[in-house]
Amino acid sequence: MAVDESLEELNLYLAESRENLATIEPDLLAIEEGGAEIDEKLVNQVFRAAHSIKGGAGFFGLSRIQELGHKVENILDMIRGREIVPNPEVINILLLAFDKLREMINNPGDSNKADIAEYLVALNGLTTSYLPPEQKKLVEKKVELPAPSGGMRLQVSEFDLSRAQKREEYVYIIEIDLLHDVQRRGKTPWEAFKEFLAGGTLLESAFNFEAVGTLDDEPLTRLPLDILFASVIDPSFIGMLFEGIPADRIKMIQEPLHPQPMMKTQSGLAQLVEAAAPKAEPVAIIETVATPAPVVAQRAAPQPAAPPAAAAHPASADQSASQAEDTLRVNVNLLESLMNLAGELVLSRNQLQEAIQRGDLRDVRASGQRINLVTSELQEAIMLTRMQPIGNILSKFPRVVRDLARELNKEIQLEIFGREVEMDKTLVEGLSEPLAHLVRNAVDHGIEAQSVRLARGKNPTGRIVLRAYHDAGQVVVDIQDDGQGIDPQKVVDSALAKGLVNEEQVRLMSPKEKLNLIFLPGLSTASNVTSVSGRGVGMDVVKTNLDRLGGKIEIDTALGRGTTFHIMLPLTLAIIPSLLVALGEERFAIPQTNIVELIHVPAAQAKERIEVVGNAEVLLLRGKLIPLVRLADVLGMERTYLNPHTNQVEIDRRQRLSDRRSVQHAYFETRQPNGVAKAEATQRRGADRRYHAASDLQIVVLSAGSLEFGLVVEELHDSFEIVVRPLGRHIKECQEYGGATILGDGRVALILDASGLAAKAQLTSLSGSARAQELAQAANTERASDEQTLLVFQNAPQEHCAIPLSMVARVERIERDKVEYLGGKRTMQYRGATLPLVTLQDAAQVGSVADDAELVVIVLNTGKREVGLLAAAPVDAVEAAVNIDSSTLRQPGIAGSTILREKTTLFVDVDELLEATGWLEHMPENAPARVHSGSITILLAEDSDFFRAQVKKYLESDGYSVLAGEDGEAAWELLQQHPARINLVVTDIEMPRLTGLELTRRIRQTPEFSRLPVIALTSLADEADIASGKAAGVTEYEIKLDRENLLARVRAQLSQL
Amino acid sequence: MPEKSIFHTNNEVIYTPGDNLVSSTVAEARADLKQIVQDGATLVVVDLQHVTIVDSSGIGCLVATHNSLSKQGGSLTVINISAEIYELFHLMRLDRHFSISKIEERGA
Repeated sequence: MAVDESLEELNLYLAESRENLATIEPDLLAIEEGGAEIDEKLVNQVFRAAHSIKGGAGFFGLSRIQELGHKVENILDMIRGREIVPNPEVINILLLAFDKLREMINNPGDSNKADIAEYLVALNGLTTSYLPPEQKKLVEKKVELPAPSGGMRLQVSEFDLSRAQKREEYVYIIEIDLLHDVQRRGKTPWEAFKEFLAGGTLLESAFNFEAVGTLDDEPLTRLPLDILFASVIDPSFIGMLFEGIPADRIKMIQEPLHPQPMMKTQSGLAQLVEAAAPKAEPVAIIETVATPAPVVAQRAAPQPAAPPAAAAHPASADQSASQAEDTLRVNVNLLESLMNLAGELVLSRNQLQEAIQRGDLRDVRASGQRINLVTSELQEAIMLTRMQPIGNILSKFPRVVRDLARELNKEIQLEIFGREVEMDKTLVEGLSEPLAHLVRNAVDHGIEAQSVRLARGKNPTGRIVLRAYHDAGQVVVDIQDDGQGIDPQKVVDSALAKGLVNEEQVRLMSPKEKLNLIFLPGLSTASNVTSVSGRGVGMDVVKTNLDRLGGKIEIDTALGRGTTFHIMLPLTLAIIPSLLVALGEERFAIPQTNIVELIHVPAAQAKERIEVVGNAEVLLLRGKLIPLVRLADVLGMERTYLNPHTNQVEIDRRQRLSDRRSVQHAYFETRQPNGVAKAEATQRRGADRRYHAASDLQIVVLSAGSLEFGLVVEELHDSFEIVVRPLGRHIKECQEYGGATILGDGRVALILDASGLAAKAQLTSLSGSARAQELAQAANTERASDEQTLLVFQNAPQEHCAIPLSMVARVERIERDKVEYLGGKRTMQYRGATLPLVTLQDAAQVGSVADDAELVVIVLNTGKREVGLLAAAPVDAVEAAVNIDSSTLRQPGIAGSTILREKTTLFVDVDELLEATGWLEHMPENAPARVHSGSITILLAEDSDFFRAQVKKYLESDGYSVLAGEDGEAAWELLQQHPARINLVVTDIEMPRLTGLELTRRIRQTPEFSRLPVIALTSLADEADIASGKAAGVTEYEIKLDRENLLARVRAQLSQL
Repeated sequence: MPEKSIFHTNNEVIYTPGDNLVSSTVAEARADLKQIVQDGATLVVVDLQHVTIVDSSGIGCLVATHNSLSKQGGSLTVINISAEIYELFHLMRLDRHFSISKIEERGA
């Protein structure tokens, strides 16, 4: 047998054995659970696995593996024969033996030196101690067989013989002359034995010492060895195994119970092995060629040879740590469909070539389409080959949980769902380590000791659930326990004690952020460190590993009731959706998973939104500071920009992003010296200069682990699905790149690695800086003024209008001819129904939407019926503190005006508009509400005139009487003047004199009013606000200007009275 | 090539062949061992530290030595055996007749 061929077969055997071992563990645990109730199918399964491991080991001369495998097989056989009850001790020994086997198989070169004595002793002990007396006798009882060579009789235990019989094996007694049959044929005895053992088991052997004689009897003529051999190979074929040994010296002494005709068509050693090792479903083994770079968010570029998952977790203490495999099992059907597709691809290429030669454009197009189709199918099929069931790694957890639970004296039941969920091989492997960590944590820290559980009235048996499922194109793995949960305060205390955060930072954190502190390096909440987990490292590693795989992790926890970790992972890494950005002539891809948001800062706002903290530039984003990095700087490229006047790329000289470009630009000095420059410069100094798109900043906010930062690029392009290619050898070490891809036009784009970029730019989080806290304060106070998100659009040209975004369901761009005029009403067909359309002009004295404008329909939220408002693009969402002048431009349909982005903007009163157009009457659910007609009075506290008027109108439209006060104090006075009349209070939160919360507290403290429902209105409520509101006694929170919801809440509250 | 050596201690003779025990070289070892046995040694230790291959005639030589020694009430010990050869001896159950060991230690 050629060397490489046998090496290949050895690898095949090893891969198969690893697979066999992977399935053994859960099966053994199931057998243990079954106890005396033997599930034969299950035991057979394990038996077969052990058997094929043993069989192959013999063939490759891995004698220790064979020996141990043989013993294990014996035990399993006895379990199958109900001779041994698989109690935890027995299973423990078997598990340990299989662990040893796995260790040896992972290290086949040294396996023959491995020390397996203790395992053999333990296993032998089982055999004898569990044998019924008569069987025990069998083991001890030896049968003596005459040696054919005339030497000493062969001794064999009856037990071995009967076992061979049960295994459907023939037993042969063979006389081998080592001189004639082996040496003369140019073989060493070792080679000969290796061949023999490939086909069966050696039960016994003995030299005929007498025939050898002493040193004085020269010369040596024969060296007879008698062997007792058990094999499935039947007598007509056994001669093939013992090649060269005369047939008369091979004697069959025992037949199997049910001899089966087999091996008829097979010959050669390889087949013999196959016969010895039962095969499962048809599969092919494919060597994976240079792992296609799961590089997405990997700091170091991948090693093409070693799958990166392995690099991510090198030495693991866990002996069962799954070895990142370099072979892959692929379904034969899949392989065949790949072959078919490859064939089709070739066919299409030929057609294309022919068509090009003929210059037949029609055929070129046709074959182009065909190639397109075949390629997508091929891509899908190939991706499928990389898909592996997540069960491959989940299956090790029953063992892990069982062992840990025993060690910690806990009763834990593990449930696993979704083993069949498939994901990319690299991901499956990379997930193994983080999962193991989380499961160990759940067992150790999550589930309480039995006594504690009993004291808390819980089921003494803890429960851990591993669940894998698909959700929105991602794979989600949940690790859920019903243990004690995580106390955010404990996490915070621990982080404070270790100096990882300071008190000021903590004060500004939401409970969720506090929980996420456990992902900080060096934090462990377990008060007593155990051997299992809680060594103060871990969760940060989990997070880093998941980041590397492009995954995310979230925590859900309830004190005393348990914790759930949700891990979200992409399905595959080889093809990823990415955003293309440009810098000068270069283009780069950024994996979509790293992108938090895209921000366009108009040149005019650069000064306000970009600040300098220390010597770093930061972006102000919703009260947060985001460090900024210029892509050109990190990559050491020249900063450039597209000169809007020449359409040429120019060098950017600005020091700061917020600086304006100097008039003394190289461009003007060198190329246009004759006065034109001056003229242009003067012109550029005009009002519009700052609004040039080229001066605008395009910022991609990226997340790299816990750090968010803004990457300033020149241009944003589209989002594409890109195929990740590994980086070339020379730039592999560049941490800022995660790989490369080839774009549609054949150019190469490098893939940017967020964490690499952050590291290269030496970014640090700014969340702790003084300026950040100042901003957070500012944000808090700003929240007090009525910040609203508004949708801004145009009516007539230059007629800017706004409505609260909360009233908008959708915005759709439409063609002018879609608008229909029927029965005097304006409508359009929309999602299979007729959508009534209104314009501002229907109610107010305003201009009409220009004929050439790009039409949009703003679909309004008005209860059950949707109404579209016709407007002109562009539409935009603006966050602004609304300060409405409700007198100057007030008219029906227009609530007033406000200044947004330095433009006077009309604030649309949607209700008035709809009323004026007659559509409001058609709203069905308004009718019943009016029944209240004045019998119910609502107290409204709101300091903004505009909001007060709006909300009052909403409430009155529903038939309530409203008493309105311009702050908390005024409302409180009203309440005391009309104590019996008021049924419900609606209040703003931030008001001068007396805030909404203070008002609420006062109401709650007055016995007379303490049961009054209070609905608080807010523009943006976060969890902390809601919590403090609830503490003050607020019954419900509602978003300002969300008419329908507010009314629904009011109705709901009133109905409870 | 390492030198063969014959080393006498007060009660045993340690023989270390300098070459593999295969048909082309076994004659020398056989002669050496015969001489040692004839000189009256009863406890003979064969140190296989330089030996990587033992073929059938090599085994024959060891078996014959064992037989000669048994006749005069002595015993054979084979030490420093490579893993492969150890395995082979174990399969042939030679370890039931004379003591074999992988590491440098005397069976007695």
